[in-house]
Amino acid sequence: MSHISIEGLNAGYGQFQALFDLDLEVLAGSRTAIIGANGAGKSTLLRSIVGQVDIRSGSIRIDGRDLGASRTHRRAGAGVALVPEGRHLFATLTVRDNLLVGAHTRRPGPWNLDAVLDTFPLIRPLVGRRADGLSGGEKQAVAIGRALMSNPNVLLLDEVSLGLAPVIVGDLYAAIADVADAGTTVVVVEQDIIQATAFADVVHCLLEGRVVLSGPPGELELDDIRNAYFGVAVS
Amino acid sequence: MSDLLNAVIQGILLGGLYALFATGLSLAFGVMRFVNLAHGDLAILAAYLMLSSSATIGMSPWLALPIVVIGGAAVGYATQRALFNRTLGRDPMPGILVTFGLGIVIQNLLLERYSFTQQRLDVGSIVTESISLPGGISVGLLPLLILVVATVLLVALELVLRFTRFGRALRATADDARTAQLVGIDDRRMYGAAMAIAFGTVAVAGLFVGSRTSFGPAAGPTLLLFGFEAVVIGGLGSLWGTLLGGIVLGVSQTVANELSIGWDLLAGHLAFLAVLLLRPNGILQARS
Amino acid sequence: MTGGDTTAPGSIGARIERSSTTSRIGLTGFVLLVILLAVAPGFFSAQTKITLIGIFTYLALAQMWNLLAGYAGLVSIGQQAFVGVAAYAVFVLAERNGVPLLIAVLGAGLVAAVLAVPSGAVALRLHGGYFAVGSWVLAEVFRLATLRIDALGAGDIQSFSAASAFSGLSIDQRQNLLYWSALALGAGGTLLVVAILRSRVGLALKAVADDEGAAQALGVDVWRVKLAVWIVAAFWCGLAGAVIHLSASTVTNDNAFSVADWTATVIFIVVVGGVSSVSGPVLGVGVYWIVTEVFEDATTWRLIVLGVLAVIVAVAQPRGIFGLVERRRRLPLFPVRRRLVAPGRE
Repeated sequence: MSHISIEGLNAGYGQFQALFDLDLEVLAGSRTAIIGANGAGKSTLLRSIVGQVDIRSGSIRIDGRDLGASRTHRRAGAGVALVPEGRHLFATLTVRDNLLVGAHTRRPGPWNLDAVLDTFPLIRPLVGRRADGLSGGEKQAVAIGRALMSNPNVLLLDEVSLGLAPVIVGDLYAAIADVADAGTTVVVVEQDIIQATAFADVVHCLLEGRVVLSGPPGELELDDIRNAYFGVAVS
Repeated sequence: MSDLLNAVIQGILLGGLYALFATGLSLAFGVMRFVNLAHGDLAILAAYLMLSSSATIGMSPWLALPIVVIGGAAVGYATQRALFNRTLGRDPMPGILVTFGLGIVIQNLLLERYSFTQQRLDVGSIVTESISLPGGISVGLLPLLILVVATVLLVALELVLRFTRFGRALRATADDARTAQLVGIDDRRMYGAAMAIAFGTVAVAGLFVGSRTSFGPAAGPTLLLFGFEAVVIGGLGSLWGTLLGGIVLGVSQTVANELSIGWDLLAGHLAFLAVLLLRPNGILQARS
Repeated sequence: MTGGDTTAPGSIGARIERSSTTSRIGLTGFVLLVILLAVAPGFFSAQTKITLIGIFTYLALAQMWNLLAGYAGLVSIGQQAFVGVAAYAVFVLAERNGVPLLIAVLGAGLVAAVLAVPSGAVALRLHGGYFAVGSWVLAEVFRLATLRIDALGAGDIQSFSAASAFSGLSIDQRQNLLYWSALALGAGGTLLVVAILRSRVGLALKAVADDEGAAQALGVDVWRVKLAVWIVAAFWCGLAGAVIHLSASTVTNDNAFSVADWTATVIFIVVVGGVSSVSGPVLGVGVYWIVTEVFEDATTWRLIVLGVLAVIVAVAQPRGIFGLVERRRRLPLFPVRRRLVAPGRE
């Protein structure tokens, strides 16, 4: 369980700036959803937290500790796990090795190979298969399992539902909800508003690199979210 | 007929040496798509270090070997972290320039220190001992030992890669370094470790190169080319392929020399070119 | 500025320029220097002329290596193949068959160019570091093959003689002829690279360097462009190799196919001077000259110093000395870049 605090973040890739003076608080143990259209800066935000983006100014703190310029692998060691967009499994490794390599940091906690396979029973029969031979849903389950193997305090998930059948997305989100209930701070980036509002207890809407709307999904009008999403002025 | 059979057997043994030498090349390419053009010169450097330790303090090359291997691994790790890691990226040119330059510098420093004189490491009576097989074929003990060492080393490396935490991390880094960082793997350290293994194994190869035949300061590039050919013949990124590639290369050299003396080197290169044209992904075609 | 994506530069009043004030000054200076050097041999000692022949031929080899590595992405370690083949070719033509010297040199270049076709067909299947070692293997094949040919002396030293190759020429005449040839190769090689970069092939090379796949998709025949550049470089290296060996007046297998002399030294020259710029090899040859003057006959130390310099430059300053100069101010000394000039901004 960890608290993330982002202040005045300006970040991007090379010449291109994707985030502008962004402030964001993620409470410990919360379920947070970041929504927004393509190019709003959602993925950049997650990648900033794991240190894969050039940060020009601003700070990212986890439990009060500034991550500063620490490299990506150290942040993983500190309990920040990202399930990247597109899954990015290690293609030539088996499912088992993909999961085991997720435990590289040797962080103690409840998650191990058996616990992950219990949570995602669909991949249990596949442990000996090479990762590049799996279906999209299987890959996503392995990717989430790999992140869990590090026993993270913070679990960041980028576009979990992209390209997957609704029934599989439902199963995956049910598993993620269990993870959150067990005390891990979960941040999901989603394009699917319905899925995001159903899962999260706080929603932040990003538009062109800035947070334009925040609040618990119950207190936000769906129309306001839609407007923020598509950049129509909120009156 | 038995002459030809003898040539094939000697070629297999020679292939062990090439495979031993090529292991580090194969690993470095597999993990980080990096071709170390100084690899041959490093083997010769290791041979000279063992020569000097035997000449100055009378230490047998066998005793010097572990020191040179451990020292080589440390230097390999440091070189990767301090120098080679700065050249990694989309453009392969910096890596080629740095390792090629390093090789030329090593060759010429050796030339300054040891002159052109051909040298040979004294590893004792094993050099002359042999086992007689039926049909008048005799198998030298040293070449046999080299093949055994090469095989043991490759098997050990394969086991480490398959079944250890370090091996998994190395394979994950080879697949996707950016994602490997996400699970807490320091890719730069992995590259350092791969180069440590490469330098360590090349020191072992140096002992055998220097004891099997005579060598001079300029012997490195020829070794590099053979090692490279073994890697390509066997298929990039496959350690078993490297062993097979070394043997194919060795056999084509000894058989060609049996058929017409003096054609061994050329035949080896031509065998490599033939594989390159007919099966560009190597004999085993490890990956598409 | 208005104007959509499809607007051609001309329709908004802009135009594309390749020369600039500095490149006009640079080119003029270069041509003046060449003219000066061309009329100078009468004032130079024999020793100076030998040194300059070496410098000029190194400039030719350096420009060709830079064309391959710096512009076509072909980091070759096999250029000694073409020097070596041409050395034997010019020996057979001039010494054995009495072909006039300059025609024999031209013939040697052509032999190198012809052999570049099959070698390119093989080497260009490889990429990056594998191309580098592959080109080296091919050079070894050429070297070992000439060793097997008894008619070429099977590795024994071969000498050009006053009675045959140099017949009818005094030592002075012979040296002047080679001096001018070397100057023509160095200066001509520089201008040849400029011309290639300004041509359609140059544009194609630029596209391939930016993104090979995208260039292919846009209709650039990547393989043919690379092969063409490979053959041109082989031809010019062959010419240089012929002049080098006529100047040395002997051919030995080790020297003709020396990777240290015809590739390593050349690479160091280009890297130190500046890869991917036409000025780089010119500056690099200057550094080479200084290093040879300092170390005179100590070839090992010369290579050690150049090698260490090149390693440092490749890591710390990938664009070499020229990159250092250019970082302060864009200084194109040769008109190879295309610049968009907006209306009213001349």
